[in-house]
Amino acid sequence: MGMTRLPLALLLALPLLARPSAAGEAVDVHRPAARGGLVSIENAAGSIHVVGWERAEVAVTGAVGRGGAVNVTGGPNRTRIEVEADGNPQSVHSDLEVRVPATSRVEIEGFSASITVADVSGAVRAESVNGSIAVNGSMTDVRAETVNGSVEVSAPAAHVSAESVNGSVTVRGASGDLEATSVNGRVSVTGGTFTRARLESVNGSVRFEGKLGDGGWLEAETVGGSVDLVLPATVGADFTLSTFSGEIQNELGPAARRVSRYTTEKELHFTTGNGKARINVHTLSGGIRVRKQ
Amino acid sequence: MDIALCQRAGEDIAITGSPDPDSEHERVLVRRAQEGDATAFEQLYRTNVRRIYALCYRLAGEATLAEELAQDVFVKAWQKLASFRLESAFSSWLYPIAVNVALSERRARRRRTARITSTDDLTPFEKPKRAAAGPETGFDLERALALLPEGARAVFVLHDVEGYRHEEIGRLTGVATGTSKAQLHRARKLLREALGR
Amino acid sequence: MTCAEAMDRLDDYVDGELSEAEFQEVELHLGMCAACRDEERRLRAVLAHAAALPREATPARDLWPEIADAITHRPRLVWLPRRPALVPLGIAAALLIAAVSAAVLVRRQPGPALSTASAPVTVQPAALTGDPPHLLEAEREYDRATSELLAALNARRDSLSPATVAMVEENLRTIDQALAQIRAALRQDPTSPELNHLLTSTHQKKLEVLQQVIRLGARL
Repeated sequence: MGMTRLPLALLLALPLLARPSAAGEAVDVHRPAARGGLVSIENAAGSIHVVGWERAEVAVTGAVGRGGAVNVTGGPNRTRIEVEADGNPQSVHSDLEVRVPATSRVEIEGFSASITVADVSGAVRAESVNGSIAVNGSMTDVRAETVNGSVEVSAPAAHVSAESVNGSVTVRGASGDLEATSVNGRVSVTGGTFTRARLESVNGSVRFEGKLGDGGWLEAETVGGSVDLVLPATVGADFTLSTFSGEIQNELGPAARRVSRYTTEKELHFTTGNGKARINVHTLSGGIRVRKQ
Repeated sequence: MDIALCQRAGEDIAITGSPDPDSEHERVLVRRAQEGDATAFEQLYRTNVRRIYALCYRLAGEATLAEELAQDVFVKAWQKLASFRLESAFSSWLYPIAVNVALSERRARRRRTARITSTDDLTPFEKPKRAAAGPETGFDLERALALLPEGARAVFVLHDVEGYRHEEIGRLTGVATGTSKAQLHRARKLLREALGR
Repeated sequence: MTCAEAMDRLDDYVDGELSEAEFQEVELHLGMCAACRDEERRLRAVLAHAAALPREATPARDLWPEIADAITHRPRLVWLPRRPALVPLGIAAALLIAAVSAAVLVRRQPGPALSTASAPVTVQPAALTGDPPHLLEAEREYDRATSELLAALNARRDSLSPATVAMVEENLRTIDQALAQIRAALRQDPTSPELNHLLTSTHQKKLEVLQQVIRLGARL
């Protein structure tokens, strides 16, 4: 397939299907794309909205900022969509809506861009620096990472890595392998049965509601926030809970004890059921609560 | 690399004039691993796992836990790899990580009652080549070690098996020298009793 | 010297940690006391066996697959540039940048941990500060790695907007505050594995954040 490039001059000369918005020139590019192929999108500034559909086609619509152009290239199984800029890419603000075959794998890179992905079932990778990310649909593998913005994943994914630095991280419906971390933000995970779940924040609280498979492990750690675990009453796990100055409330077993009378540290080690899963919770000043579902 | 930047207080730097091929090879592997090459890291794993597993096994007292600990050690090493500055052999850098991992686990598992190693439990160690006094004593010591209380076992393994001094043990474990000596005294006493004559 | 006194000193005697005077006293006692001599013999036997123990052991199964799983799924933030032509990365380059570039990314040092890295560190005896020596050592290592990353980030500061820089600084400060709190707690209980673990995790998080920002920033 040849390159489909729309330089500004040409855009202005063509009859446009969409009216150019104040933000910039309209984009309307369609290209065949195999189902299950890779679609990668790069837009430094603005927003990127990806939606899956039934057609074997990629459609890019929206508006590209002044000084920028959308470049769509690739072969039958790979479509690459890039917003190119004459100067500093971050100065070109573009809002793109990209429709992709629903079974596509999607990779998105933004910088000062917010990203959403919906109704896609292939693996999703989304990265930004200044922008939140929201992924929902039936994707089974999600990696979403940003620095300044929230991350939300709602998908029955078996592999999730959701990370922010300055923003909350929320994961719903996942299972299997999970990593959800933030520095200055809440981490909240609700889902099915996990084999490995790592939830971490520095300042924010951590919440987990789900199950653990045999041999599964859950690690929940925060320095300044609290930890709230909601587990099935029948959970079979080996628990290690520790806090330096918080309180521990445990609905599943024994009460915590002070480590020594010289410090405020409390810890709790106990086993429920078959003890096959491992649950480790550490906080510094936040409280720990273990509740039954 | 500026040597001055690399100098760590109190530690010797091995500056070899002519590059020794093994350590060169290792340096290459480490650099590749630092760049994300898991295959290179696997090589480092293969070379070092037996040593690390032996340590984990002795500190943990039983095989399944030792296996998990050994895995945790390498995963942690991978995560910390950026901070390894190639000043020493990879194993010298890896070793304190292993001690740390093994000892941090110990308190979490403290609540588990003493593991009873069954008489059929063959240790993963090979029989020592030269028989110490009495044919079975090599094996007996391993079993007796496994039954020691964890703090005492840790210090005994580090001091009398691995050869660390109390100051170094203090650095690795955070216990004071006095505590370390007390634990060692206890371990040796219990082991003498366990071995009988 | 009584048997009790001799037995008390037996470990130090065997380890060569007694003063000359005490050493002589113990030796004298052992010369005269068969029971204590017997204990000494048994102790030396234990130590001989211990020293002869094999230093390597083979796990019952191959542990690598699960390790590989853990390290490849947990995406380790790597130094590889997405576009090699644009930004030279890699450890050597980053170190070079650190050595050459004097300017520091953050307008203010983000917290006590970093300023100790650039200023000469006077290591106080543990009894005074309450920080165990191994902790200071480990933290110095982390501080070194963090400084290098900061310098590398600084070299790329043109690719980050001032707002982004400010936000990253703010979050580094959050982490430093957390580190300070953990350290304070550690002074109360220096041997706590949980606190040590929290400290290490939090240091690690700082490194990861820096690596992440560098990597994501390097894509432009």
